[in-house]
Amino acid sequence: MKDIYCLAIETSCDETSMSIIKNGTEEIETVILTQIDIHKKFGGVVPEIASRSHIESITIVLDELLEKSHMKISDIDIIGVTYGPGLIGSLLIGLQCAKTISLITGKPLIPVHHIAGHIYANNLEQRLSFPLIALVVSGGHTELVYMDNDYSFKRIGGTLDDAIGEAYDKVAKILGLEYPGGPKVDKLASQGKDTYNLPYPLDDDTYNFSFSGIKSAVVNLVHNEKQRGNNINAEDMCTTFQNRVISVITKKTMKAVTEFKVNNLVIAGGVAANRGLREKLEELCKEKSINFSVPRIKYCTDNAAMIGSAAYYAYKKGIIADLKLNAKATDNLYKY
Amino acid sequence: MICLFIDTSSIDVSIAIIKANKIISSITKSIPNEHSIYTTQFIDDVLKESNLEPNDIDKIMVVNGPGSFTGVRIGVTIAKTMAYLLNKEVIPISSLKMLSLSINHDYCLSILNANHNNYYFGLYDKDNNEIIKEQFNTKEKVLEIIKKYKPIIVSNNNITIDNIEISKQELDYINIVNYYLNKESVNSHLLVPNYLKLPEALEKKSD
Repeated sequence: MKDIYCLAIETSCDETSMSIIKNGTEEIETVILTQIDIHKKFGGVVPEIASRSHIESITIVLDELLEKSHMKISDIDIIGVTYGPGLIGSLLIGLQCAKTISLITGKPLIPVHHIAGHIYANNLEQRLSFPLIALVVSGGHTELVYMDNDYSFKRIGGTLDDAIGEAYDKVAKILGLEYPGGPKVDKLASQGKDTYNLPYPLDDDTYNFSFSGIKSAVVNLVHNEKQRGNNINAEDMCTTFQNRVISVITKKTMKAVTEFKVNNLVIAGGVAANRGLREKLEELCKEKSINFSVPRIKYCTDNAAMIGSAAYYAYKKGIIADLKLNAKATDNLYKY
Repeated sequence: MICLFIDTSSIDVSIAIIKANKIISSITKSIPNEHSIYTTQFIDDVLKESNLEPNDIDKIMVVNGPGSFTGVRIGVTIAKTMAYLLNKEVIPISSLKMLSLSINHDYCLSILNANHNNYYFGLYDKDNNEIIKEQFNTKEKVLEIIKKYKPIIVSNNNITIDNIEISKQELDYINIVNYYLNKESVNSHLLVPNYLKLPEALEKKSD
């Protein structure tokens, strides 16, 4: 069978990334240009500034990718692009670039849902085994997905308000930790004790999540303690917050694993880099002899390699877009 | 010399292929908020209608602003990707100057609505030299210039400033392309929109 080389483009938030992936599994080369330092001073991603940065770097990233991979654009067989969800102005830069490449080369354009990309980050580590449950946790998403085969997604639950990574960043902010604060909360959590009185977030029988309540609880607690002139122990606050959140997430995830009778659990997204979450799920999966997969850190945060992997399987399923493909700020993964 | 003209800076998407003072093929459609969907499709359409391959284009001319931030970025991203991959020259065109190039005039004020009583504008003499440099400014400033220079006023849409009605100017592709033909091209990596306005987040920061 002929090898399929996918040129993948991901610009849904504040990373301009392109990658070449062979046959959905082999990473030939990836370039990621992050804008974190630009957005740091605003305490979060500013959409208009993100769009402006993407357009400045888009062809530079493409040039670097082709040079590093020693490939020409004519060596590419398919073009995969994140069309959504994400920041619309950011998505548009990658999308227009991808459509132009398709126009010039005549090669198929493959629309990839960002969450599908995150799940397929695991496929770059080890070929996915089905059926599986995927837990996607990032700054913009918290989703539980069931898959019985390649590129077949069934959402079984997700957040009703804030994404988990958003809650982490806000807790970090109130504790005075620099953006992006999520990883810093994870680090401090490993150094403290569970001493504060925080609620368990949406600890019910559904597969849904809610993090705005516990986020507000942290904010209120910090304010009250400050007004009383008491110091907040940041380590202990992080430990308590992380314990509550991870307790509920892991409980619901393992419940899904049992109820859907799967032997495989994969996690994905920026918060999959969270050590507390990884370790807890690893331990629970070990107890139940469930295969557990988590991508390396570089595949957890936004990158085009995962998009290139997902695009291959979308293409195999016949999911091909024409030049009228549009970007979407929000979209369901599950229509395929 | 075959030129591809791309303009996504206004509510219209305009794509044209010009060769030796002739429009070989063109599409102009008013499709607010749908530039992202149709621009590459229109480019494909005009190329096919002209029986041309993308590589047959010698120069790409793209309107890089000022105008709708998102709109301009769509055209510029397409133009810089094409120029880079096909190794062709790309020349940025001012959305303001191209209006003055589309009409005969003594003084010409090209003006675009930028909302909240602000405008993008530039003033040109009969040879299309920039007399007042292209800028983002208030209605008061615009009225001051109108009073002083009594220019012909053109815009990319029908607008009214106080009691002055300004009607939409059709683009003269041939004149625009001829004017820019020998202007300096830019490296595709360095081609960016000419916003003339900072993002709001930065404006607040500099206050």
